[in-house]
Amino acid sequence: MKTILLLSALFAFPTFYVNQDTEADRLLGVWEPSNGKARVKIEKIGNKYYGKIVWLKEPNDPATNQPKVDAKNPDASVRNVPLKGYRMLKDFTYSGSSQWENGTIYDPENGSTYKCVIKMTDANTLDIRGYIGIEALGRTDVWKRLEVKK
Amino acid sequence: MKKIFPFLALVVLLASCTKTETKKYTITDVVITAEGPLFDGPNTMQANHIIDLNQLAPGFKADQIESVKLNKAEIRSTDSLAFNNIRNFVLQLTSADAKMEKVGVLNPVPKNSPLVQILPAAEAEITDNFKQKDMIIILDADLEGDLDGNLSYTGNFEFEITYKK
Repeated sequence: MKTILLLSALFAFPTFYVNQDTEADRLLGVWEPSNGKARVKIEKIGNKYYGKIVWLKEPNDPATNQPKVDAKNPDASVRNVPLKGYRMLKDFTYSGSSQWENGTIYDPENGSTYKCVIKMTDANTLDIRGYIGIEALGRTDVWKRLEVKK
Repeated sequence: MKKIFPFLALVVLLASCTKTETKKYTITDVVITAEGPLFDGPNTMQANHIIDLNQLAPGFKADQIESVKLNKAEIRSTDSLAFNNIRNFVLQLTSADAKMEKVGVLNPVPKNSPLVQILPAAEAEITDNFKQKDMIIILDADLEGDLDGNLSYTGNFEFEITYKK
């Protein structure tokens, strides 16, 4: 009986991890924030999830007619980083129940970084909640998947 | 109140006695790649690096590290195209238990040169990355046009590590 239990456990653990990975990877894809100004591709690097801007409604700065850069970054030495390609979502890990935590979101419009939690409400919708300090004092934006999964 | 002064003086004295030293940590000839096909725009190139603190001193412990900064980062291309199909580079570091940090940028990338230098970021916090077993070097390459094959460059990096003796 003990042998059967041990064997069951051995086979169940890899399955559990595979399922966790598959579940967590539902976040991968291209997403659009509610303002429609950008599209963000979420990819996996190591065991964490990151989102970078792959499309901008207005890619050029109207003042210079050059591609927009991260002009509001508090670190002046990186203000010439282009916004197209900018990794605005960083370091998210899957915590179960369709939620990714421990990450940050960067707002290039004011150069601020906020703590962030991502909740998938259905296969094609994300609630992105940015906050300072405690989660209750934050703001949620709804992002939609670009290629809608049926 | 008077009793606190000798205690504070002792704390200040002990703190000033903790000596720090600075040494260089280098990563040489690391191959950074992105698997094709690749599309016009920013593409993520990666390399894994196992941190070897014995480079600083035999038996060096990670908790001795006080601060780390990037001194120099050079990227070399062996392709005849050099970097003529790259608009800009952004260099970042991340680890399983440390945040991703942007450590340098080169925008625009100069044409017709097989070797380019990434300009280090002034305020990158990468101390935690060096306290891990390994880290991932990420080079975001903004590609001009699509590319059917893989993209591969060689990187040399020099960091300055300040540590407690």
